[in-house]
Amino acid sequence: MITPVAEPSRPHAGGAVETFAYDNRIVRQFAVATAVWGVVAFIVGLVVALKLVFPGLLAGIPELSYGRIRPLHTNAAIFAFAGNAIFVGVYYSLQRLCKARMYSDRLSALHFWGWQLVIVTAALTLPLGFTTSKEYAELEWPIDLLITGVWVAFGWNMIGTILRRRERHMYVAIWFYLATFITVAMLHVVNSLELPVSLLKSYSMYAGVQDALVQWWYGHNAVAFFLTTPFLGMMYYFIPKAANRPVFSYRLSIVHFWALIFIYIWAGPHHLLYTALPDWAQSLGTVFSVMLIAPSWGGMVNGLLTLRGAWDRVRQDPVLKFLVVGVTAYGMATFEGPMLSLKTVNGLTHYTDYIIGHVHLGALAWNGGLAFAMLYYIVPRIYRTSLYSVRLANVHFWLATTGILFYVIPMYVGGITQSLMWREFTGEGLLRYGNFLETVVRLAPMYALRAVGGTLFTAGAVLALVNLYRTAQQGSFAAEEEAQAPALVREPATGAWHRRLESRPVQFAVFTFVAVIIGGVVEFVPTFLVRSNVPTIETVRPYTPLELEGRDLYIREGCLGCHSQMVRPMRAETERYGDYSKPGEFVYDHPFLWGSKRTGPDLHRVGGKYPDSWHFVHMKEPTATSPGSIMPGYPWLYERKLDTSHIEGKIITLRRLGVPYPEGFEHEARAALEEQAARIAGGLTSAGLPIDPDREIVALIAYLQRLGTDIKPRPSHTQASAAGPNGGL
Amino acid sequence: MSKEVLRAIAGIDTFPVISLVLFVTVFALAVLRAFCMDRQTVERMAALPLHEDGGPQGPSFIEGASRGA
Repeated sequence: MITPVAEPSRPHAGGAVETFAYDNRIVRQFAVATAVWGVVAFIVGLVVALKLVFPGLLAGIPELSYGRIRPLHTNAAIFAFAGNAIFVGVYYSLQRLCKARMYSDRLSALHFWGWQLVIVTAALTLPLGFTTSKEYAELEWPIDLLITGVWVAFGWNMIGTILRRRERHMYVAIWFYLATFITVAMLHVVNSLELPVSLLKSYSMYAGVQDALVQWWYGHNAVAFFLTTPFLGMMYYFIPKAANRPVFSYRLSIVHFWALIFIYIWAGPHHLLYTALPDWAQSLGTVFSVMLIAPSWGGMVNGLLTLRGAWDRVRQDPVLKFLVVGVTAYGMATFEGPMLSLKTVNGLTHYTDYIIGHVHLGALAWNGGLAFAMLYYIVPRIYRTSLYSVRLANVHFWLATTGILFYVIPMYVGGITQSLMWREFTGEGLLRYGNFLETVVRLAPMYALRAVGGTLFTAGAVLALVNLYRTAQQGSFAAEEEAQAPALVREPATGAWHRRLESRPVQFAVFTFVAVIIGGVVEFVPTFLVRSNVPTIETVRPYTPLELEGRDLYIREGCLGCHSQMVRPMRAETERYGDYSKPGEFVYDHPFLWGSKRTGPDLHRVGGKYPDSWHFVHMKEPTATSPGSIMPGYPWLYERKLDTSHIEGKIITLRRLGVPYPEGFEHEARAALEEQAARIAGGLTSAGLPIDPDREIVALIAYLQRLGTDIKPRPSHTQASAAGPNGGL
Repeated sequence: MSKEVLRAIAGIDTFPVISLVLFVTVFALAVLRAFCMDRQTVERMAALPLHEDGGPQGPSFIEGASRGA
């Protein structure tokens, strides 16, 4: 038992009444950023969607090719739209829940401008092809460092504010904010460990199976702690505010919080079901994923029941409308998520557009719904006016809701259709749709419908932008909102441990951090053991210098946005692609390139499947070899000279990471590269396709022809194969 | 293939067990605590967002705005 004497004192309300001002300026800045970047993210998404309907759209411009702007869209939606929305919610609610101004205006400004700088650098580097290729963590190492600094500024400011609060207790929303800060910091640092080659090129510290494990541990938890926990914090603040009644069950919110942070952190591996992951990790992930339904639905019910007695207002108030749709979509998406982790369901939906539908249900309805509800709530208040047009907001609501339906339903239908087509056999035991293209062509109407949905949603967001702008115009901005509250006085700590913890944010943060770390470490021990336990395969060799350069081009062009490199051990896949993928084949893959979506076929066994000339013709104009293909052409690869200026550095960097290039090989790398390029170019030229050996396409062909060939006999029919297998290695 | 290798790691089974025990313990404690909190505290905590200005709701234009036209 802790005695009052031994225990340090804690803050206590009851001192002299103090007058202070909430900082609405930072709230406004983040609100503007949310609305503007949101519209940008939606428009880029629309362009990406339209490219699948009209492959010729903006064709021939490398910076606007599908593979490069798809990550731009995902990053803009997650970090620019949802990210800024989180900060609007945190800066608005935290000050009011703590009855204190933000700790430091300077840190607030640093956070705001730093975050916008991250977004701008992402918007420049991703279309230029500077990417790590790890999904939702594509930004290169200098930007990773910038993100780390900005995130620290955010956390420092938040914790500082909490320490200076005038309210003894920490409302549940603040717990969610703290968990967000701590966990995202950990995820970002662990997943971004990479060794730089140059200013904008690095290789992941991890390889193959291990890299995939770390990446999807990050990917899953980024969804949890960036797109879920902060929005739940916002839900627990803004629903009671908008409905003007307390949260339905505060007890349930506590259970919700603890269950979420513990379960989520362990459920990562389910993203890799049916791949080369060990069974136990798959099963563990699945069990925890299924268990996630309970707290998620508890949270949803808690949010919706808070509206008890206020449902009549939902019909009139756009804020409540968006909140209700958002929370309902949260419930649907968190039911769907665990279902998707079940092996049979996962086998059906993985790599298909079903997953795209699933994530957009979450992003558009849950994150989008809460973000817009919050903007409609906050902007009139900080401008001391009422919303410019409730009718316009209602039109936005219906455009958004129908847009989401038009988006999600075609993706569900298309995803299942394609998956069933992939696995359909004839009575003779042959694949009914042996040509992958047949399954792509079938999806064309679904892609068109999806673009309609995206257009509706984007149109709604533009109306919101106009509405919020006019609201601001008609009001007068209250940059400093005066408030009064009694100062906290110190009093000895008493009461139950949980209550003491709640009123001590630093201890609380440390406890959460320790809890999450333990969870992470326990899951990570096998992950680190995996590295030394992945069976090495005698015939698996490091990439030749030319193949390595080709691989980096594959990364630059974002090929993994449409092509996986992971043949699952299912008959439908081994029939279509060849032998299933083995963990030992990826031991030199920094980073792994398994991909997560098959708009095009898997490429892990593409090496040797076609002659070099096929790739040469196909990459320039895909429809020339594959009529009906929606893949864009890559004409610039035939004009640009391969940049080999960093080949020595790449070899040295990869050797440091454990790839067994012999000592001194970096000095021979360039010669080996040129020799292999000359061989491939010579083969192509003799096949009637003249090309200089120093063009980028030669390197890409070298890489594609290498894929998956380590454990099968070297192909005999590639134009260049006669001259030796390993280009000097 | 990977299964055999991973199974060869000494004590590999303990990790999922550790994680499970950890999870169940902390979660059970949190649930227990949540349901043992006295009613007054719970109500006070739940009402925190509504009393952030130390009094009733803000100016009347706010109500008008959130209720729509």
